[in-house]
Parts: sequence; C-alpha cells; structure tokens
Amino acid sequence: MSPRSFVLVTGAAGTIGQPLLSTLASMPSIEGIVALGHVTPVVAREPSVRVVAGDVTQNEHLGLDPADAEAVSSRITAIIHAAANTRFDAPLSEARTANVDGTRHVIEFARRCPRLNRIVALSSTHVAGRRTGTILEDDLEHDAGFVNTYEATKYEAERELRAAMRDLPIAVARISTVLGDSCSGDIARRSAIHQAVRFMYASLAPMVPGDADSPVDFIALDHAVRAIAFLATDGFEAGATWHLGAGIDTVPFGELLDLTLQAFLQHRPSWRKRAIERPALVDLPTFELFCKSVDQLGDSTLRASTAVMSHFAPQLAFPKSFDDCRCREALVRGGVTRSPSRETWARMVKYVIQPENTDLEARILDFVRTSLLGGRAGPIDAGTYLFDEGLIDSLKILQLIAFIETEIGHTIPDADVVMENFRSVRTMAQRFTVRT
Amino acid sequence: MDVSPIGISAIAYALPERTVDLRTLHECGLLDSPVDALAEFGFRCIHVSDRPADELALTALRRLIDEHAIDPESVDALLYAGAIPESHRVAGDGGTLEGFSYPVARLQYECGLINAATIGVAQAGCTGLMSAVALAASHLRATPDARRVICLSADVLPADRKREIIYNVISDGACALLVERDAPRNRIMAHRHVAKGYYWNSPARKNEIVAAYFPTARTIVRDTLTRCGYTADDIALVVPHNVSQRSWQILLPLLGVPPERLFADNIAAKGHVIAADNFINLRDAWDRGRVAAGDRLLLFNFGFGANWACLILQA
Repeated sequence: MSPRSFVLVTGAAGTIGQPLLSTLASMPSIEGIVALGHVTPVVAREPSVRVVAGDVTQNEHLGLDPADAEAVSSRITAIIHAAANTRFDAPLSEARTANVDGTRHVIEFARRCPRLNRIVALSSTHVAGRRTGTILEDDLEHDAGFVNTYEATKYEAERELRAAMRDLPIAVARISTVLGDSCSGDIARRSAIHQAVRFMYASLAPMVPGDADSPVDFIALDHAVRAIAFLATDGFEAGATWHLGAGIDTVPFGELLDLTLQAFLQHRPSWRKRAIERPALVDLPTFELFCKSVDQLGDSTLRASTAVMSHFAPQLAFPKSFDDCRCREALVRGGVTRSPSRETWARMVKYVIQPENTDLEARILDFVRTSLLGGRAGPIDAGTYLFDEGLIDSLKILQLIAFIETEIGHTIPDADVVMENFRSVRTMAQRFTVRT
Repeated sequence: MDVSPIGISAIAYALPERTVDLRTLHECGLLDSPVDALAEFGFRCIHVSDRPADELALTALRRLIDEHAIDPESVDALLYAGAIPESHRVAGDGGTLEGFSYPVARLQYECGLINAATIGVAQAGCTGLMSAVALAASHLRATPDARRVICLSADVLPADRKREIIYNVISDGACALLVERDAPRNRIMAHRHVAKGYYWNSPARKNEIVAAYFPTARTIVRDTLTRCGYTADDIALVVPHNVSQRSWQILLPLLGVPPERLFADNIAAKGHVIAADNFINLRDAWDRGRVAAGDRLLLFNFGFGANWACLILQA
C-alpha cells in the first residue's frame, strides 16, 4: 500500500471491524480510515479514524449523503468490506439484502473511486456449505447446498466478487469461525458457538451431529484482525482468495468436546457435581429429529438451545478441511503468527463460563427456584419481592450469601448484608455484580 | 459364594380395564401438549384406574401366584416399588397413623407370604421396579438360604393429576415379578443404575432432564453391555419403557440398535405405565413369540430423581 493510503472499512462496528480500526490506525502506511457504521455505534479513539453513518444495503452510495459519498470516493485507496449480516438464522431475504446487495453496492461504489487500488472482501470458509473433503482457496462453485442463510448468501456474494475481479483489484479473505481473543478469550459479541458452549455447561446440549474425527476449524479474533490488516496492506494480491483459518491445526471434534469439559472442570470445579454427560455425537437425521421434536413440544428454554444449535451444528456433519497454502505463505512472509488452536479454544471456554461473564440474574434466579424454594413456590421472576412475599427469611439469606460467595465468586462484606440488598433477584444481581 | 444364575422366572400384571383416548384426556384438561403432537409421538390411549394402587398391586400379585403356582410360603422377600408417594400408603382418611399403613404389609398378609420380609422401594421414579429386581438379585446372592423374591410395582395417579409428564402419557397399572435362583428364563446378566442428583428438582430442571436423557442413556447402555462383553449387535430385542416412540427413534441410533429390534407394540395402546413398562413388555414379548430362549434382551429405563437404569437378560 502506498504511504498515503486511505482505507474505507464497512461494518466498522462489527466483531472484526471494530478491532480492525485500531490495528489499521497503528500502521504507518495508512494515513486515514473512514469507518462506515450503521446500527451499532463505531468506537473511534484514534485521530486518523473518521466515523461516517451509512448503510451498504441502501444503494451504491452506501447510504452516505451525496457530499460524504463524493468526499470518500475521491480519497480512498482501499476498501475493506466487513459489513455483513452474520446471523445464522436470518431469513434468506434479510441475509441476501445485507450480504449480496451490500456487496454489490460496495462493488459499484468502488468503481467510482479513482484512486482505489485494492478491495479486500471478508467472506466465510463456509461458503463451501455442505461440501466435504479438502476445500481449496480457489474453489467456489458447488451444488452441495448450505446449512444456513449466512453461508448461502456469502457464497452468492463471492460470486459477485469473482465476477467483479475482471475489472477491479479484489481479493477475498474467507474467515473461519472466530472465537475470542487468543489471550483472554474476550469477544464483544457472542456468536452461536459461544452460546453452544454455554448450553453445554448448563446441560442443555444433548447431542451434536458429526464424527469424533471431524476436523473443527476456528481462529482467534486478534489473529484474524492482524491477518486481515496485513492482507489488506503489504500482503495484498489482487484476484486472490485466502483461507484464513486454522490450517493444519484443526482439532478433531471429539477432542474439542473433551477440551471443553476439561475447561469446565478446571475453571468451575463445582460443575463436576452436576455430572453432566458429554453431548452425544449423532448422525444428522437423528439430530434433526431431536430438534424437530423439541420444536413440536419443548418449552422455550430448550427450543432456544436447539434453535441456536440447529443453525450451525449441522455443518459438523459435513467434515471438511480448508487448504490455506496461499494464506499461510502470505502470513509467514508478513510475520503474522497465531496461537495454537487448543489454547485458543480453552481460553474461549474459560471466558464464556467465568462468573463475571455469566448472566448473574439468571443464575441467582435458578438457585432461588431450584435450591432455595425447592420448586414449592408459585411462579417467581427476577422482580419478585422475595422477602415481602414471605418466600425467604434470614436463614435463606444466609444460603444466598453462601451461594453468591462460593458459586459467583463474590465476597459480600458484612456491611452489605442488609435486607434491602436481597429484596429481589434483580436487586441482588445488580448489587453483587463482580467488579473486575 | 453361590453363583447359581438368578433371573425373572415369572411375570404378571394388572391394568385397569378402563381406557381413555388422547382426545378425551385433552377435553378433561389432563394433557399439556396438543393431541395431534402426542399422537405423532406414538400415543393413542391409556389405562385409568378407579381403584387405588394397592388394589391393583394385589390383583397383579394374586395373578402371579395363581398363574405360576407359587407357594406363598416359599417367598423370602417382597419388594414393593412405587414411583409416587401416594403409592406407598393404603388409602384412608389421611390421619397420621394411616401414614404407617403400608401396602407391602397388606399384600404380604392378603397373599399369605408369611416368610417374606417386606421392603418398600421408593424415590427411584420409573426405575423403581428395576431397582427392586437388582436389590432382589443382590439379596439372593448375599443370603444363601433365600431362594425367591417377589418384586412388585404399582402406581395410580390421583384423579385430578395431569396424565402427561414431559411429553409422555401415563397409565395406571401394577406388575409383579418372581426373581429366583436357577430361573429357567430371563437370567440377569448385568444391571447398572446411574443417579444424577443435579436433576432432583423435576419441574425446575425439566429441560435439562430432557437434554440429559439421551447422552446418559447412551452411556449407561454402553457400560452395561461392556460388563457382559456384549455389543449392541448381540442384543436380540430392546424391551423399552413406554416413553414416546419419537424418543426411541432418537435414542436407538445412539445405541446402535436398528428399529426392528425394539419391542414397541405397547406404547400406543398401553401408554407409559410408570415403573412397570419394561416388565409388562417383557411378558407380552414372550407371549407374542418375540423372544426365543437364549436371546439377549436389553431393558432400559429412566426415572425422575434422576435415575437411569439398564438390565441385560438372557431369555
């Protein structure tokens, strides 16, 4: 990239877009960044980042007012197109509007940028859909079908991008499943995989489709961000498609489940006494029959679990590995390294289950319902005045203190042991939230 | 140590004559789920009793003694399993002393089992009768003088109680078994029982129980087969508890058992007879020629608590 490069980042408030801004801003070769935000506010701390409100789904001006559109298009030298609807359960039309129409608009916008010398479009390794076996970086066209609308519409978007490669300097970075930060596991927005781990922790994930040997591919968020920043600058190669994933460091599915259970036991020792079984690995029809049955008769909690699982877990029944020769070579050249997959996974699990990141209100409510009241009381919710309703007394408050201190990991000073702090589950959750 | 084989040599059961279909149950407000969905899950009708549990138990016990010409005085112990608290008391005015009027004692007296020790088996949900069989086998192994034990379960839901429990439709009924040394059939090859107290609060943990049911079932069945040195391929017939056909369609692939090896004849017409299912089905499977001498049979059950149990028999 030239020393005076100017980058437009779409989807700048997203899971990848937001940290990408900081990484790009720290690069000497980048003079300025235009961060296109839509619904979620973009946080821009660096002076070189200018936030503009827009929407790639609207038109070829990306929803910018004409003056802004003209100013941006005349100045930028690069586009990193990160805007997407990443919901696996989005209706097809909604996903298509964001992912296909949005990409078309970005392509049209790019054609009106006289200084533009590169576009990096973020895609997904799962444009391979229900294909199995080894997927090459140059592969795209297939008729194997898709597991969800996200995959299907990212595939359609890639077809638009491939067609536009004839007259535009476009490269596509297909990103694998993104977990949290490689050191802390932290992630701004939890994805289906994070929710699935929570369901497993809570004994709400009975089965998943797939074989124990199926390779599971994922990467840490910080690695993805560093890699994209490099591929969009010194590592750029027009016409390239990169598989930005684990490469040969995938983890067999069975081992991944074992690693998850080990992390539960290591970081939440009290989980052991629940004796929750490892989810069963089943064939896809069995998994789908279970999901259908829950949908027919199950109540909302279980339906929520299967709804999340059913939109991504079937992918595990189509084992595949992503060849990453081109991407790996580029990243080696740029000195972009990543942490081992198993460590990344373990840190993600720790992050997801650590007390300060769990839904404290729900946990206290569960304890009150199941252990304190033994299911004998009528329906209660987080706002129920427990003491006023005669549901708890001073003895039960002692039990609550023990629960909060041992299970939640928060020590309650004597001064806080006053009735008003235990008035309702909501009050307790607000009063005793762990401060990190 | 006595290593003579122990088995279930005789079975008799008593179901109320009155049957009630799903539509009627729905109209009486006794179901939670839509009728069509429960029908799709494999239920059609259930048996409903207007007599208390101990009366049904007495019918089943007399049938067992009469059909198999059992000398009542030859019975060393009587184990009575009931899943719900109401099954462990003889109906009366509910006074304090009546809480000590035990069905098992009444049955012993009515049937003249004068040499039988009486024991109640409770708090094991629908696995109660299977637990009783395992206890009977342990008793026989540990007591050289003892030769035979009768195990019995009986449950009758109170009239105002819902008939659907977590997507399964419940029948009243009783079943009695003769467990003895040198049994000519149904020899006990292995038994395994797993209890998980995390799920003790059934209403509050309903979703977790549904989710835990399948993987834990797979584990316990595998473990029990391993104890015998068997695999799923060695099993000629799975003798189920009568939870929904749908749940068996989901579970069988986890166990590696093809659907034709499930004895599912009774699910639609008899419903889930709480703890008695497996043994009612075992009796019917024999009577209908579905079992041949020497077949290896797998009985699996789940009970609130939560309990998972598996029994492998050689027919």
